[in-house]
Amino acid sequence: MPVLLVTSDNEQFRVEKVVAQRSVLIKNMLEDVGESDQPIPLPNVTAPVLKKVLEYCDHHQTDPLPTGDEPSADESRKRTTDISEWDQKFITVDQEMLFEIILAANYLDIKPLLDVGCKTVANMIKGKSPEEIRKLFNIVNDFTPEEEAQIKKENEWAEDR
Amino acid sequence: MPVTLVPNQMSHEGSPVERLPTEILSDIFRFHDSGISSLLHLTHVCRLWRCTALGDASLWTEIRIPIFEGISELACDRFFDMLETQLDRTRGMLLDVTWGLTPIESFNRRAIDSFKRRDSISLWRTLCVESCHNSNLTGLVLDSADAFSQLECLRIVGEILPQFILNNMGNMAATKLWKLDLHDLRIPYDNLPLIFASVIHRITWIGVPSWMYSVHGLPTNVVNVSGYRVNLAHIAHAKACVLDLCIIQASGLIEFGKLTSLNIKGPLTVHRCEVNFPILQALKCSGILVEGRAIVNAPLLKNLRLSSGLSPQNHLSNPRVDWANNPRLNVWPKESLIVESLIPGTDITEMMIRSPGISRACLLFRAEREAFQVMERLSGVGNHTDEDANIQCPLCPGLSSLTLTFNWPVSQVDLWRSRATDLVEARKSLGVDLVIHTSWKGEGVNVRLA
Repeated sequence: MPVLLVTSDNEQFRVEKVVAQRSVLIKNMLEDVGESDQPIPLPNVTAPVLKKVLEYCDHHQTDPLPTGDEPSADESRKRTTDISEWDQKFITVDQEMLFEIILAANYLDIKPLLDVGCKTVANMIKGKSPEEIRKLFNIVNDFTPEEEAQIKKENEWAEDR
Repeated sequence: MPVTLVPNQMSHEGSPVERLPTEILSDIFRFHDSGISSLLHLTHVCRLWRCTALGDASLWTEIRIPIFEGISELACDRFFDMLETQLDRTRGMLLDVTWGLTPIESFNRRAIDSFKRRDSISLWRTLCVESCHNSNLTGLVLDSADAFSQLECLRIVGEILPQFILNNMGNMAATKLWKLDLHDLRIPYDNLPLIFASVIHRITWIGVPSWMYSVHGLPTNVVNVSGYRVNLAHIAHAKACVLDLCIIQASGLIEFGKLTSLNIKGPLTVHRCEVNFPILQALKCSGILVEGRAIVNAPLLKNLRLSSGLSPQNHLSNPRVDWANNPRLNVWPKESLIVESLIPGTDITEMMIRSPGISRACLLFRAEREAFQVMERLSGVGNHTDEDANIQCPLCPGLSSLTLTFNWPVSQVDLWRSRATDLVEARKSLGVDLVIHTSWKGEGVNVRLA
């Protein structure tokens, strides 16, 4: 049975339940309301972002759902920044969209997609100096010169490497 | 003097990154995980990033002391300043310590003292000791008060079993140790079980050194085994094994009543015995070689992955040669069949006939023609006959996910789409929604065909 999703900009998306349920938020909402054709509002997600998120959910619809009770799940999550080739292609978007996808995955509770987004950002900053990271994300250096001198001293070991 | 700052949200105006909540930023830092130097760099980007990194003590708990063959006094001082800063930031959390034993005793003593000053030896959760040939320091002895009370995992890597470990085995008697990883201990020790006698009866996981072929006598509490070349008959009580090469050599019937997962890089070789895996659920290997009248039974197997892994020349040239038709092998999966090695399409079809209950198949083909033949069989062309009931059976009637993989670029994607669409329609008559993906060398990765 299809599910009707309504975005913050009032666009409607009709998707298969199995696809929509990749989102734990939507899955829980569907379980709460039972069999119903009521549209599900998603006030924190715009149409272009939801379209991308649904593309991910559709591709991964047959993946086993994370249960969350594997003891080593968190451990293994942090150990690898490997992203499958399909996911890499999927997440090759501009920065604005990348962060929107991360926020949407967080809001919709789609852990594997959130991980893909976070890993992508982690890979982007890997091997970069603080100045290069600032440039990459348009971040202003807001340390005072005194603070910066002190932090630099603290980081001397890293600078030597 | 530690620098304590308040985050300044204004510094991120106009940056999409500013919209991320700090817990997500923390996650990004966790994935970043490129060592302490990189983590220190992150604290130097802006106030918000610094506050986020310093506010999450778990980011700082991986402590690495590298092996220094030679180090200047200034560099040494800077290293220990950094170590102390890092230890401060862990705020009492359990630590994962990788310690390269530098062949300079005073350096190692200073490192120990840094931990001792914070009473943090008792906070070590994992300890990986790396040693080189000249780092067999004899003077590093911990006090009895410095027990490894939280230690869960001990890993020893390198040329020797460091004297530091031998000296302090007594401090491990009261640990929570369950994992002992000696896989990368390179020099053979005759009396290894004796050395670890005080902990061996508590561990459940062992990484067997590559030079140790016999694991005979491992206590029954050791149920997870990782090793290079192991005779599985010696550890019939195991629950899960990850091995490079696996041999089963025994007389008569041998039953692995607890084994649920067997992951072998190379083939599983069974010598002249009957092997029963009554609850085995997952098997990965490059093939099964049975010698003599050997028989292998895995009646509850769910997932079978036939990998391309190791195929040592001195073992066998093609371990898969009679897999599909061998009546002495009952190792057919109930849920998923994954073929990652290049075997004939007819063998793939035979495997699918013998695995009628699977819902997922990922298959690597040598030729497109062979893949088309398998698809035709799935569409109902040339259905096989159930020998018991003498009726025509569709191939794997419950199949809901099929992935076809090719090791060369595929050009006729439209033709594949058309065949896949036909197959999906044919399967609908069985009441099954089949999804078909394909991957090929170059551009195509998990392209959905139908």
